[in-house]
Amino acid sequence: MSTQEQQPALATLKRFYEAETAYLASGGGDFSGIAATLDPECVIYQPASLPYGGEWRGHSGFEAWMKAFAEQWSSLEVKDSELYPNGDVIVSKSHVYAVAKKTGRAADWPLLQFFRVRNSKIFELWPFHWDTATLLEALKP
Amino acid sequence: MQSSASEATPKAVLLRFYEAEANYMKSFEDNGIASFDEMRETMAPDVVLHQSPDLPYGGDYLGYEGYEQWAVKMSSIFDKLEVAEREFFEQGEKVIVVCRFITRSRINGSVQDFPMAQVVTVRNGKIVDFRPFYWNVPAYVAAATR
Repeated sequence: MSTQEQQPALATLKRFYEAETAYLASGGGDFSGIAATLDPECVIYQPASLPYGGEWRGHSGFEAWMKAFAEQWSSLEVKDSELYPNGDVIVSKSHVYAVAKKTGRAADWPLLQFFRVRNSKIFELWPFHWDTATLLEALKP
Repeated sequence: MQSSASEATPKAVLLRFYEAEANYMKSFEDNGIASFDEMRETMAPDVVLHQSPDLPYGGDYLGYEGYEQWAVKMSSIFDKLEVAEREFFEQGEKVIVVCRFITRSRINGSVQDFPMAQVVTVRNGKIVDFRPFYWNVPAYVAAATR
């Protein structure tokens, strides 16, 4: 049995990543591919101190969060990705490289993302940034 | 039957560490003194604790001595530390724990109640690396500000 069959949440996350890559590659016009991988009641949580902080709910909330994020960061690259599945949750460990759009400052940081899956769709997403204070410094005009 | 240290999974080692930590804290509360020996048993001599640089106790802490220095700094800032709702994710030599971390500032009485995630690396039955990810570092900076 493959790992994906043992851990069905992995297949969901893979579909989400593929849809996200396609969305970003196309310049972010059609959100329907990503929406198909999200539970209608999905929530993405962001630390309150960030410019895109707070809770973003549902498909429209998720799309709005992606736009708010893209207003702050460009040249986003995610490297060294490791996945830690357990039941309906996956934790992804990676390293992010990005450039702050308004200041041109480069920043990179370790990132953990906690995904909870419901009915084969992404239901909750909690990103743990290594140091939100460092991110704010890069974004500060 | 207990497995030997080298056979213990990263999660099993981390649970032993938590137990030792709880005993340490209880002894400190009850008697005002506690031995670090039980916690030391769960960590390698060259253990590294990485703390996000902008935290009031930011930076890397090396070895047993470094770990103890960090613990002293933490207790000078917080008079309550509580971890709840732990979930574990294990793979290879690493275990990731996601939890709720509740702290109370000794300095200004503020309470921080946020999610937290921590990557713990275990080799030969001992913890060699801790990397905790705080949800929102500025909240901890504020906790240490009078």
